[in-house]
Amino acid sequence: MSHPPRFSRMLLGLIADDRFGEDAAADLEEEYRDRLKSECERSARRWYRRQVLGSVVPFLRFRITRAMSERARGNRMLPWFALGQDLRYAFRSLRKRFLFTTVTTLTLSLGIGASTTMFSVVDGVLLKPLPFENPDRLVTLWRTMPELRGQPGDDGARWDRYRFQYLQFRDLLDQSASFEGLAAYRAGNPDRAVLTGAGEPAGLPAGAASASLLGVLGIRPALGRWFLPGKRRREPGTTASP
Amino acid sequence: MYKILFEEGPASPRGRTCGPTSWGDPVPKGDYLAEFEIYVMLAVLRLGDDAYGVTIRREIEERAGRPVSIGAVYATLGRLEEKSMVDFRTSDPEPVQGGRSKKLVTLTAEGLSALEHSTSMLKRMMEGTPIAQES
Repeated sequence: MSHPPRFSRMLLGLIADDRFGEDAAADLEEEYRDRLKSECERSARRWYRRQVLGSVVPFLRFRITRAMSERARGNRMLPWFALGQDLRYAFRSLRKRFLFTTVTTLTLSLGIGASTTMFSVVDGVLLKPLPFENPDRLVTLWRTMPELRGQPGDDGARWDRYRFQYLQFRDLLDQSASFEGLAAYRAGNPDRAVLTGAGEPAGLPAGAASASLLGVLGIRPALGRWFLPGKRRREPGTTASP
Repeated sequence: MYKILFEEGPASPRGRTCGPTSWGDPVPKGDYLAEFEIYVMLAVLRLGDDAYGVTIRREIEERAGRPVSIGAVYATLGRLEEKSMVDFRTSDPEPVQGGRSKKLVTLTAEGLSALEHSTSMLKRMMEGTPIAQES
């Protein structure tokens, strides 16, 4: 024998008032069985679901009204029903003032969007720590060209942000005693490399860095090993790290 | 239109012929009926001893020509009960296997009085309008 849709029955049990819940469920089931005699099961189930959905608002409104009456009589207070009434009143008021509501909504949206964007940038750049060990001990070194200071164009604008040449880096590495480790890398305009082997060749972004880079950053290899001391030239081997 | 709408009662002190409730009788504000409450009470009145959720819902749906949910019927009956306008009683189980008891509805005297007042008010408002002439 076909039964009414289970989820709809559960929903009816949740929303219906204690006083009438069982009767409403029994009445709906009676009509459902009557409909099965003249309609297909699918149609009868659809009717049942519509009945339950159409009963949600009336039952809830009745429960809220009754709770508020009990509250007014000094019985047990149900504050969230008062909140519901306040929210409905607020919604009706806003609906009456369409222009005001629209302008306010747009203003709030723009403000929240702008604030969120700004915070995302600040969080990512300033607040979030770098994903390295002891990030407060990492520094970037730049070369300064005081003679270019004040000159027009890019050269003058970045007189204190020139990169080191590789041989200058080598000299620093050999002579410096102030740093625990030194590494060099080429940032911006990454090179491309082609991965061949099994399957289709794939183009991959690649960069150039000194052998000491990952060690300075505190990254440990997941597979393989880093370059051994003195081995700065190209050598076969594979290293993988997360 | 229903008989109760056109029933003529004794003339009021103002000489008007109106329904069973005269002009001068004050009716508590809480006894004014909403539209759907009138439909439910009229359905209960028409159905007599067979008035319960299923029959009331069907009656309104067929006569008013609009879909009616069982929740709307019971919520309205609940409000009417709080206003002491309807009474409930449980019927005997149906004489079939698995037969159920039904919650039967009847109008109280107060409910009948409020219904008469509301319908006579409606009649008085309609007097002289094109709607009254057409019906």
